[in-house]
Amino acid sequence: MSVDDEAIFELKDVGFNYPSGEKALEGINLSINRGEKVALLGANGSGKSTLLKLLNGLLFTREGTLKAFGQILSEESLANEEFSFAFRRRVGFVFQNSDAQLFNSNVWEEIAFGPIQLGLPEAEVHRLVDEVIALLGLERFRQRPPFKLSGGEKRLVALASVLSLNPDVLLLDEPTSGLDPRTQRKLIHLFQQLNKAGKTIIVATHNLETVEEIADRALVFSEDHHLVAAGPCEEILSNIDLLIKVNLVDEEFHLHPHGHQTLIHAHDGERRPVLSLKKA
Amino acid sequence: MVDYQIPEWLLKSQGPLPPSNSAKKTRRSFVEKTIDAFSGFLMDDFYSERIASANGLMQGLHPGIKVITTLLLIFVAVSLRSWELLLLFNLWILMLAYMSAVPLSTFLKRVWLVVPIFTGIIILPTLFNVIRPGDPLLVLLHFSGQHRLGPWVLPGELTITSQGVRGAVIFILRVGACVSLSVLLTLTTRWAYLLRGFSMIRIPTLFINILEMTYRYIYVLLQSASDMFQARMSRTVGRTGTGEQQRFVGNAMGALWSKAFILSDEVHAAMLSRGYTGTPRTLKNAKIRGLDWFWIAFALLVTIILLGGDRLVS
Repeated sequence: MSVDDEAIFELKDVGFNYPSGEKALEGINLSINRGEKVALLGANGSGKSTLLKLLNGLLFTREGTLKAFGQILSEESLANEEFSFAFRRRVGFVFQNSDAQLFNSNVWEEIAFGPIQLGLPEAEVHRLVDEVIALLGLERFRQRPPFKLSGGEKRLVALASVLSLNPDVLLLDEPTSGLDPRTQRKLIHLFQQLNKAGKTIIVATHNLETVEEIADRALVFSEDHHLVAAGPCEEILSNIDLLIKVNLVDEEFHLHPHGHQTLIHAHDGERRPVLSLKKA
Repeated sequence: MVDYQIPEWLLKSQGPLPPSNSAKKTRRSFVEKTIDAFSGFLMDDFYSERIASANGLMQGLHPGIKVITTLLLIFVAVSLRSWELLLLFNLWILMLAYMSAVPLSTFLKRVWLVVPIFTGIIILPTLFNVIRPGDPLLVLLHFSGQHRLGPWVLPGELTITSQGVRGAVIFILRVGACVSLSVLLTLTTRWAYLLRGFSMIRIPTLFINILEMTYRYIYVLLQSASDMFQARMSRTVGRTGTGEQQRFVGNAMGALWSKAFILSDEVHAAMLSRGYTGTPRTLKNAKIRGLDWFWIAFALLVTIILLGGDRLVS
């Protein structure tokens, strides 16, 4: 993994309110460098998904400034076709709700949508799509309508539809939630490989078991929409008081350094088994 | 750790289940019937999809060519005046369906179970001499002489006229042919390709995209609705009144509407994220192949023969 000093995203005093007046983010200052793997941690509703949408230029900040690749990201800058195409090609977003992301009539067209919108030549579109299909093992779904696939398959197609643009930055909203353990592992390995190849990965998650594998650095958001901590994942995850304060875990929380295995076990005095999945 | 004070009743068991073989049967509720209808729609679509991906004559054709030739053949159907030729034309369409791996029972049910009933009702009055005078074919009633009723003259007898029957047969055969052609087109073409085919008759891409999305999200919303109805059924103990069920359906419609609204926002964001700028771009349609040219020639030949034959016969 190579982390450049070049900042891909720089946020200064960024705040965001939804039109209903509902606060989503307040006073956010952060910077993410090229090649980093960053996890956004926080309880439900803390503003993780909103931040991803801001970083993707789908929502625009009214307070503070947000720079992407050294340039201000705003409604005006994205109105510039050349900038907009260059930005869209560089930053890919895998939505939490696959149904929102998969709107084409078959898997092939779904994956081809991005390249076609960017006006790539037809032969190039075919090559990109076929290679992504082979990479994620989606051959047998090629002609299937995405909405008739299972949850895990939909997620893979959603990822494929973004990878076909070959983005430098991958924004992932809960990429492994609702997936079976095997598919989870497959995806994590893929993210690790893509990161090794130099891609920046920004993941919003509350699956703490996989954070250290997906990310090197963690940013923690509080329920009142502030960035309250940033640092190496190991350091953040061992700060139980912090995680309790932001309502991510309760006092029973602990991680197991068991290596690559899944085990279900109960501790003395606990009513329910705890599922643990961790790398050594 | 939070120590919950669970109320005592929540810790008690419900006891054994009563025997299920009691004679008392309950009528299926509106909610249950609706769930059946949802799954029926999905099954039906699945079935159509299977026919559309079968290996048959019509499936191998370019969708745009299919749309254009279907329009041409519908024009033939409405132009023919001879019932013999119309019957021949219908048989020819049936043969096309057979060659396109469409199960004939499905095809006949979709066309000939519906057409005679609906067009029959429309055409029924013109059979009688009271509405449309003509040569009597079958006398039904004798009246005592002619009666005058303002501008109307009631004839001495009520008959079915030969002109009326001829007109009705031609009308039903015409409608049957048109419906057959449309059913054949939709059964042998996947919805997505069919819409793509429309672009060949100059329907704007934006319009086609909207139709495509509509079709695609019907599934998501149908799934949502189905989940909502099932969740409701799983929590229903005993029978609920009609008013209560109607209230539930009303609420479900409202909930679905707001879901659809939120979803449309998300879909738009997902499109923007992948470079959509408001002008849809698509790859070119499938190429027109030898089989398509052969089919165009064949359809034209059928058109000329039928229309020419019609001139000679009538």
